[in-house]
Amino acid sequence: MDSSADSGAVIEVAGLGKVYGSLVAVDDLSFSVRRGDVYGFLGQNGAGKSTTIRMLLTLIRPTSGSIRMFGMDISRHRSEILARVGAVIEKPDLYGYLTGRENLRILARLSGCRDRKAIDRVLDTVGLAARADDRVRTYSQGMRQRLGIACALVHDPELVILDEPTNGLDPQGIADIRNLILRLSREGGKTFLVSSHLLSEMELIANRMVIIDKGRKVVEGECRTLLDPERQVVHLETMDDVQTRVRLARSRWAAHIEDDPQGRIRLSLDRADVPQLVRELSDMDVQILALRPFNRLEDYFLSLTQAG
Amino acid sequence: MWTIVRIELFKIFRKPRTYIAFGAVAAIVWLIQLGFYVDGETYVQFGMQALSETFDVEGRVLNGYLMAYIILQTLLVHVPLLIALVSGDMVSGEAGMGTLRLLASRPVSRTRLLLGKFLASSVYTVALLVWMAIWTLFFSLWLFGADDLVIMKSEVVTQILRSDVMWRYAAAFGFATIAMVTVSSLAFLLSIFAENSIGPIIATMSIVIVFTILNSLGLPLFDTAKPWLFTTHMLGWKGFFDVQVGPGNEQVVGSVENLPAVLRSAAMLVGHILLFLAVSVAVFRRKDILS
Repeated sequence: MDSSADSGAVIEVAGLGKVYGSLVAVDDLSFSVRRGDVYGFLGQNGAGKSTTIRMLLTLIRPTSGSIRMFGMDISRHRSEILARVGAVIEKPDLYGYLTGRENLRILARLSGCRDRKAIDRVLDTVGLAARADDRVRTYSQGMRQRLGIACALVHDPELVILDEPTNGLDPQGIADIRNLILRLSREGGKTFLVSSHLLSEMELIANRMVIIDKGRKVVEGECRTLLDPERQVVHLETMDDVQTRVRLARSRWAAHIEDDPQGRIRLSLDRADVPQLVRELSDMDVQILALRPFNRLEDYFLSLTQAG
Repeated sequence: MWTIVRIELFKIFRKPRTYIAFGAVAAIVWLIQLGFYVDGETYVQFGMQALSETFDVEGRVLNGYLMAYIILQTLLVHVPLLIALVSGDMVSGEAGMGTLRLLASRPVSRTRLLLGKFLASSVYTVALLVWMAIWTLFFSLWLFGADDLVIMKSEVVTQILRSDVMWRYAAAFGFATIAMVTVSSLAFLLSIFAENSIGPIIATMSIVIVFTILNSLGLPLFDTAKPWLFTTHMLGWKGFFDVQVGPGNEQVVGSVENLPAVLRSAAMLVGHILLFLAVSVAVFRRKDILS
């Protein structure tokens, strides 16, 4: 029990699996979330993110594997663990016929929180104080999303799990949620596990991440390491790509050529070598149309999942 | 547990659909009372024709107690639908709205959550029957006055002294409450399997209708099953209006002709409630919440 608490792991998932008949939704999945992380849980639609999150919250029984949170086994210490967790699962569905404040009061009570001021505090945090006494059915999608987050935060949990929190939001709404997560992480010291397929968003908030595909882990680690700023991958577009490939294959850059699922010319090299590459291509009479950097998380994610 | 029950009651009584049942009961009762207020005497005279030829009938036969008896007979057959409206929605409605995952991911055990919901739906059922009692009994007494209760069955006329009636109604409503909680617990069980409330409501009513038809058919094939069907016992409340007759053919005040049969029926209904509830808990505890 204490080993994971000491190691600072808030969530430890080991060999997790979920099978529905012949469908393998999650397959031998392992990852860990450390205290204070904003942990990106990435995968395309249908990759198994929501199923995993539902297993973390005991909504679904795993077929195999184990889940430990705060150093405790979820199957044995369910209530103890869930009292320290807040979550929004997929859409923030709430009671439309009740007001925002009433929804919060219900969920606060169920979470064992009896501090009435906590409701006002959390309404202020998500910027919904002015509409708190309106029925939820009159709320916009963005307001519902913020109320969903308020419901997750009302009992002041240590760990907040948000499943696709920016789904269906406009750019301003997405920015608001992003800023809220960052603020709560920095100022509130909360740990976040945020799932998304909007990878560009995750790039801006996560410090660690796991990418899953078809229910399996593809890669896990620090975003900084995975997105090594010293390493540069480029896509080259020229007047005659076939000739360019031949010339590159005969040059010293041959070792830097990488496979590309879409058949583009892709090179992996040190960032400092890019100007030299351009010079030498010019010397080889290659007419360059475009040289596109390829190191954003979205590209990384696509290359990993498509390679699988 | 009390917190969960309070939350569930709060949700039930903030939903407009909850009041459909209260409105329907009030409207039906009021319509029957209006009909009898206008044409009741003719109706009663017609019914008492044969009796009046042999006996001298005095007093108000059409009184509040008789009205309550007539209304109860008419209404209790249809109340299960009104009960199922709310109980069939208790879990399926939450699944359909997407709020079930919100509740089930809180630090409350699924058993407690389900028992809380069940108790709240039972409170709703009791509230509906109290409401029904107020309208059928007290409003009828106010409108038609009080006198002895004369009940005509196929070959028997029972006259119950007015001083001996009120406790029988209390017992009858108590029994009816057990019967309606049985229907409520069936609708509740079915609601665990669905993600919208229409299915459980229709399924509950279908079961009640099929079982009632089986009861009324005199076919030997179904005779073995009949004692075990909850619908067989749902009209057991009528037993409180069968009075024991003494050796001198006089009524025994405060008696029930076949109390063991009434208690057996009540026990059978309680058994059904416990069975439906146990199955509900067992299923819900293992259920993957995918809604």
